[in-house]
Amino acid sequence: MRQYVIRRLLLIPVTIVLVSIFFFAMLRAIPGDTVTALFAEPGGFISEDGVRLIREELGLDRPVHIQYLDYMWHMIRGDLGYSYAFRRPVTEVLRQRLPRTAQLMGMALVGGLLIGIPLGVLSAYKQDSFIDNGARVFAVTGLTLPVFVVAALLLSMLVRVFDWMPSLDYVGPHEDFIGNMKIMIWPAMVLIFGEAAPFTRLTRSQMLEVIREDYIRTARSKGLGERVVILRHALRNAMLPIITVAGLNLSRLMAGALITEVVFEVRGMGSAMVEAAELLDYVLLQSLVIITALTILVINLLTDLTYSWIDPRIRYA
Amino acid sequence: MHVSKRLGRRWSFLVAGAVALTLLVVMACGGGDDEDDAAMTDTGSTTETQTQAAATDTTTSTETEASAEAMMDKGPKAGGTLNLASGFYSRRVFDPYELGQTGAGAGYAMQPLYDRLIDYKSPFDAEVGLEYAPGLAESWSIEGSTATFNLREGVTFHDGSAFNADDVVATFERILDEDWPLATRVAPPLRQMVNSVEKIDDNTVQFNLAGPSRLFLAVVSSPWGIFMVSEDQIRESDSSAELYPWKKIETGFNGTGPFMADEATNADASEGLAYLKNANYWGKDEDGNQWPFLDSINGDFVTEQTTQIALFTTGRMDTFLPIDRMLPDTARALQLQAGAEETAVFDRTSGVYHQWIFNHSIPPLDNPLAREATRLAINRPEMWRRVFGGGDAGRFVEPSEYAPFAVSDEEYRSFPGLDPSKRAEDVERAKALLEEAGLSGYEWQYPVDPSTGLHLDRMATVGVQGLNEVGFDVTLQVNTYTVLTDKAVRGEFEITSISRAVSFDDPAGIYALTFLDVSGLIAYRPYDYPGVDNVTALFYEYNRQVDPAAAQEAAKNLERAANAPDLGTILIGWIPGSIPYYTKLQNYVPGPGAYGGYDWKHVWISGN
Repeated sequence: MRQYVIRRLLLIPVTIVLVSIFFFAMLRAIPGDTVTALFAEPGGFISEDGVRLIREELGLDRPVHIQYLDYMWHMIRGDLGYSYAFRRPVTEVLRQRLPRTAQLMGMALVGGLLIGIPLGVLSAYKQDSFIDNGARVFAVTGLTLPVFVVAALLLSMLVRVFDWMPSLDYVGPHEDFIGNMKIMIWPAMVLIFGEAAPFTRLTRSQMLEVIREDYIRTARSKGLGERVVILRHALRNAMLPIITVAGLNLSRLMAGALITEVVFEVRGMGSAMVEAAELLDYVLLQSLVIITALTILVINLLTDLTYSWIDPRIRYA
Repeated sequence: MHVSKRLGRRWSFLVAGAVALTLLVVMACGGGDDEDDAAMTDTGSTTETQTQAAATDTTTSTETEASAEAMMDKGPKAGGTLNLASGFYSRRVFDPYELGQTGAGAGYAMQPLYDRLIDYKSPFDAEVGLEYAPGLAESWSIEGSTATFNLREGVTFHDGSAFNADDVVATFERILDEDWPLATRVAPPLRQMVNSVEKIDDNTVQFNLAGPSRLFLAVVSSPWGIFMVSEDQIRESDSSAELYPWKKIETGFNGTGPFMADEATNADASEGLAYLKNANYWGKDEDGNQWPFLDSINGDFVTEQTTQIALFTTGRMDTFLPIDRMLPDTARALQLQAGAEETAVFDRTSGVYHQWIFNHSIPPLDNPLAREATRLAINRPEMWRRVFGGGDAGRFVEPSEYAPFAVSDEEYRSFPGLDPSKRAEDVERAKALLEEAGLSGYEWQYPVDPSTGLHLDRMATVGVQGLNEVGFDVTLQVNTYTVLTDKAVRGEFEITSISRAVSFDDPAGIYALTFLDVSGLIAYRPYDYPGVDNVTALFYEYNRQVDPAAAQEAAKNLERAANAPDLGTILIGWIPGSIPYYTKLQNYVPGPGAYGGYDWKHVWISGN
C-alpha cells in the first residue's frame, strides 16, 4: 500500500510536467499572443514599438523552450509569475479566487452525493414507483440540461418570482457564514442539480444489480433488517463505480463551475480562466491549468485509496 | 393501511423536499439588508405597475420621450449612489492612455475621473446636434493653423496639486511622441493634425496644426479620449535612465474629473470600480448648481447581460444600456420594468457598418487587375438581399421595417451598383481580367469572425461565392476576433469583412484596427474614402429625422461609397436602428454617441 502511494505520488510531478509542456505548446500554437489579445478589442491601439516593448516585458520575445524552462523554474520556487491581464502576481489572483471555486465545487460535490445517492437508492428500492419515475425524470433532466441553461433559469426565477437576486459583493464564509451562503447557495444549487443527476442514475442502476445478488438474498434470509441489508450490504458494494465517477466528474464539475460563476458573478477560478483566456494571459492560464491538473491528480489518488476502504478485497501492492 | 403508509412516505418525501427548498429560499432571501427587504415588500406594487404597463404596451416612443422629458422637469437633487454594472468596470490600468487592453470599456470607466479640454454640451439635445462646451479650457479659438486654449484657473487634481498648462503640454506631447508606444485610438488622427503644442503661460496653451482642420475640436473633445493627466505622473524625472522621456501611470487614478476613485478602487479593483464625489470639482450647471450631484458611483464588474438584466429588474442597477440586441422577450421584460415609476426609456440611434477590407500589399490584390476583378465580383444585389434584407431576423425585412431609412427600397435598388441585370456583365469582365493577370484559380483565404453577427457571416459567404464565380479559388476561414486582429496587425490576410465600422489603415496597406462609432465618432477620422464624403454623410445620418433632405443625401453618399472605384476599404452599408436605454436617472439623455451617455456629473437619481 505504502509503495503504491509513493509510486503514485512520484507520478504526479511527471504528469504535471507533461501537462505543462502540452499546454504550453498548445497556447503558443494559437495564433496571436497576450499582446495581440490585449489590444484586439475595439478601440485597442498600439504601435509596432509598443508591441515589441510589451513582448520584451513579458519575455515573449525569447525562444519558446527558454520561456518554458524559465516559467517552470520560477514555479518550482513558488513564483507563479505576473498576470498581465489582472496586473497582479498570479499567486494573489489565486489567493482571492481559488477558495471561492473550491467552496463552490465542494458544495456541489457534497450536495450532489447527498442528494444523488439516497435518491438513487430510493429509486432502485421502489422500482417503477412514483418516486422511481420522479427520480428518473430528475436524473435525465439534470443530465440533459446544460449548466448555463439551468443557471440562467434559476437566476430568472429568482428575479421574476422573488424580485431578488444574490449579492455581487462576495463575503467569505469565515467573515459572514449566512451572508456567504446567500451568495453561494444558488450557483451551488445549479451545480448540485447537474452533479446529483448522474449519481442518482448510477446509484439506481448499481443498486438494482446488487440487490438481485445472492448475498443480498442470504442477508435477508438471515433475518437482517431491510435498512442494514440496503445500506451495509447493497449500497457499500454499489459504491465503487459511484466513487470512480465522482472522481472523474471533477473536471466536468470544474467546467460547470466556470459557467455558473460567470452567470452569478462569483468571480472564482472559472471567471478568472475566462478572462485569462480572452486576453491570452499565458502565465495565468498556465498556472490555472497546472493547479487544476494537480487537483484532479490528487483527487484521483484519494479516489483510488478510497476503494480499499469501501471494498476490503481491494489491495494495492 | 399498507397503502396509506406508502402514500404517507411518498408525501413525507415530497413535503421534506418542498420544505428544504423553501428553507433554502428563505435562507437566501430572508434576513437581508434593507435593500433586499424593500425589494421584497415592493413586489405587489411592481406587479400592479407591470399589469398597467402591459395594458399600455402600445405606448409610442413619443409618449416615452414625453415621460422622460417630464422626469427632467424636476430640479436637481444632491446625494445618493448610482449603481452600474457592466464589463467596463474592471480596473486593469491606471493610465487612460493605456486603454488598449480593455478597449472602449476602460474609456467609459475613466470618464468620471478625468476631464477633457473641451466638452460636449450635456445633456445632449438631439434636435440641435453636437455642441461644444467649455471643459478645462474656458474658451478657445482657431485661427488658420493655430488653436489656442485658455485654461480654467483654480482647478486641482484629486491629489490636491494644481492643474496648469504644463499638464496639458505633457499630456499632448506624450500622445504626439510617435516613439512612445502606448496611446489611445485618438493618437493616429491627432498625430496627423498637430505638429506641436506649446505653453504660452500657465493658463494658455497653443497648438500648431498641420493645417486647418474641422475635426480637431472633435478629437480634442472626444469622450473616448484625450483626458488631461498630471505631468508629474507621466514625465520621466530622470530622462537619462529610461528609453523614453515618459512613463506609464501606475500609482493610481489622479484626474480632475467630477468623481475620484475610491481608495479601495486604487488599491484593488478586481471586482469593480467605485467612485466618490469630487467636492472640489470646478463644474457647475447653467443654474449655478455644483456638479456632480451624486455622492458616489458603484460600478460592478458584470459581463453577462443576463445578470445585468437581473440586476436592473431587481432594482440593483439604476441604468441599463444594452449594447447588444436583445431578444424581444427580454426587451419586453425591461419595458415592463421601465413602466415602473421613476424609470424612463430613451431610444438612441445606432447602427452597424459592414466593410470589406482588402490588402493591397500582398498577392493577389497587389495586382490592379485583380483588384478591379474583385470589385466586379462583389454581388451587390445578393449582398443587399441576404445581408441587409435578412439581417439578424432570419427573414427578409423591408428596409422601412427595420428603420425609417431616408431612401425607399426601390430607390436604393435603383442605384447603379444594385442593378441585378449588370451582374452577368460584371462577372464576364472580371473573368477576363483574371485571365489577363494570370490569376485564374488563384487560391486564397477569406478570414472572418462571424461572432459579431449573422450579417458578417452572410456577407462573407456572399463574398466568397462572388469571388469564386469570377474565377478565384477562395476558402472561407472562420477566426476568432483575436486571431483576425493578429492577422490584421501582421498584414497576413488578403481580404476580410468587418462589422461595426472597423477600418484598417496604414501607409503600407493594412495596419491597425480602429473602432468607429456610427454617430459622430466617424467624423473624427481624417481619412476620406476616395471621392466620397461619407464622413459627412454619416454625420448627417445621425440627424436624419431632423433633416430628411440631408439624410437622404447622406444615404446616397453611402451608396457612392459602396460603389467607389478604390478597393482599399469598401463600405457596404450600414443598418440603422435604435438602442433603448433604461434609466432611473433624471436629466439623463444619452449622447452624443449611440453608446455614449456616460457623463454622470449632471444627473441625479429619481426620487432621491
